[in-house]
Order: sequence, then structure tokens, then C-alpha cells
Amino acid sequence: MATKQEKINAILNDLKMATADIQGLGVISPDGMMIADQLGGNQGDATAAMGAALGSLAKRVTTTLKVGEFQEVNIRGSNAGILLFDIEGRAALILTVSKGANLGLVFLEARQAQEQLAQTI
Amino acid sequence: MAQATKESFEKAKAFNKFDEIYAPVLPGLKDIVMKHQDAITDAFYGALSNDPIAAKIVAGRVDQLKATHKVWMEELFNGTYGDAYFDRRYKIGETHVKAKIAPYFVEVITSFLRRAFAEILIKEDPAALQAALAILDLDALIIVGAYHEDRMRRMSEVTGMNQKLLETLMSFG
Ligand code: HEM
Repeated sequence: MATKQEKINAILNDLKMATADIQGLGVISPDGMMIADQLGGNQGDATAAMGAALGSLAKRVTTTLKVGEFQEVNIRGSNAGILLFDIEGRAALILTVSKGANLGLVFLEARQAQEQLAQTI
Repeated sequence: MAQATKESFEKAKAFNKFDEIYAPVLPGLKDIVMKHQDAITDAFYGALSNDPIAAKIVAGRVDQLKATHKVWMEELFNGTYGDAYFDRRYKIGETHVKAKIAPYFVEVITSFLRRAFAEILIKEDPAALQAALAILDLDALIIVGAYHEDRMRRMSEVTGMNQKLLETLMSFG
């Protein structure tokens, strides 16, 4: 039987394979800890903390402005993008995507992974 | 709540060997200090009444505050500084937080009390003054701790970030 960690890693592997537009990805806890890290580079700990901060704040703004359930954050940088998906308040899925990525496909695949992660975590 | 401050309180006591060195000295100072309590408390509220902001906060309740201040001062010299002591002092901190008294005032007033105690106890054994300053510092640590925890709680509430995450974020600063 696969461990929870192995299941999470398998979901991330599938997502990464789905489109070359996804550069890195990870799953982070609401405390800002890295649960699974495939982001590349050595910024994991800071990314986990800042990703969790982003998710918390986004959720807070979503509630305050009464725009329904928080779903995702989409940041566009001049060189690449960052996406953050909520996993039912228990975790968040963070992706870095290339400049000019096909966001339609990325979102489709990421939402599938989001559902699978919600069942696993 | 109060947990972070409680841990600091315990660590500060252990660091200074407070229970071993200073706690046993304090009950013996009660009578000496309490002889001057009225004068200290009057000067304390006199100083606050001279500050335009503090004056507004204490206006109309100085007599009641003087009475609570006396009890607070007596308790400094009771000789037991465990959980019950901590809880009472933390509540005093929370009262000041709720009354929206800037922590700056608590700091300057603690400094004022240090000088007042020094004036009285300088004529005694150095251990007396050391013990009185040590308990004042512990009280200040607790009250300031209540302010700190309140700021963390409010920060957490407004950002939606849990306190552990806030601590982690600060560790990258
Ligand atoms: C080391 C400094 C201080 C000590 C030891 C002290 C002590 C106390 C104590 C024992 C109480 C009663 C707490 C309770 O009923 O739970 C109290 C209440 C109060 N203190 Fe202080 N105090 C200090 C500084 C100050 C300062 C600087 C101010 C004003 C600028 C202030 C204003 C008040 C007020 C307004 C209350 C009543 C709050 C309320 O019941 O709404 N205190 N203080």
C-alpha cells in the first residue's frame, strides 16, 4: 500500500507530466510547512511560508468581500506565473508556470489534482 | 493564549534562579515597601495625570485605581510566584490591553516603579533591592507579554494566518 506521501507525490508527478507549462509544484500546509516539494531550487521553506500566507490572506479577502468560496490565487510575473489552489483549508497546491502558459489547460489539470489531493490529505 | 508568555515567565525565572535567590527575600521587604506605598501610588498616578493622554485614561477613577494598585503592590511581596501568580498578573496585562493603554505607558511606569523601589531599598542589603527589581521585571514581562500576544492574535485574525505561520514568516525576516 502506498503511503500518503507517495500518493501526494504521484499526484504531483502526474500533474507535472500533463503540460510542459508547469515548471515546479508543491503542496504546503496552513502552518507554512512543505508537505511535498517539486518546486526545484532551494527556496522551499520560504516558498511554503509565503505560499501559506498568500492562501490565508486570499481566503480572508474572499470572505471579507463576500465573493463566495476561495478557490485560487493567480499571480503573473514578467518572467513566469504562480498559481495557488486551496485544498479544503487543510493544505494548498502551489505551481509555477512558464510565461505565456496555456492557463486553460493548466487550470483544468490543476483542478483535477486539487480534487485528488483533497481526497488524499 | 498566555502560553508563550507563560513559557517566557518560567524561562526568565529559571535563568535568574528567581525562586531560589529572590523569592525567599521578598516577603521580608513587604513592610518596608508598604510603608511607602501611599506615596509611591500617589506619585504614580500624579505622573500619569500629568501626561495628557494618560490623564484622560485614568480620569474619574483614580481612587479606585489606587486601591487596586495597593493590592498589586502587596502581592509582589507574597513570596509565591507560581501559576496563580502568573494568571493574576496576566489578567492585569489583559485589562490594560482591553483598556487600549499603549504598552509604552506600562514600560515608563515600570521604570518609575524601579526608581521608587530603589530609593527605598538602597539603604537595605543589596539583596533586597535586587529581589524587588527582579519581581518588577517579571511583572513587566508578563504585562508586556499580554500585549504581544494580543497583537499576534489580532494579526492572525485580520490576515487569516495562524500564529505558527506568522512566527515562521518572521523567521525569514
Ligand atoms: C506597571 C504598571 C501598572 C500596574 C502594575 C498597574 C496595575 C493595575 C491593576 C492591578 C489594575 C486592576 C486590574 C484588574 O482589575 O484586572 C489596573 C487597572 C487599570 N490600570 Fe493599571 N497598572 C499599570 C499601569 C497603568 C498605566 C500606565 C495606566 C494608564 C496610562 C493604567 C491604567 C489603568 C486603568 C484605566 C485600569 C482599569 C481598566 C479597566 O478596568 O477597564 N495602568 N492597573
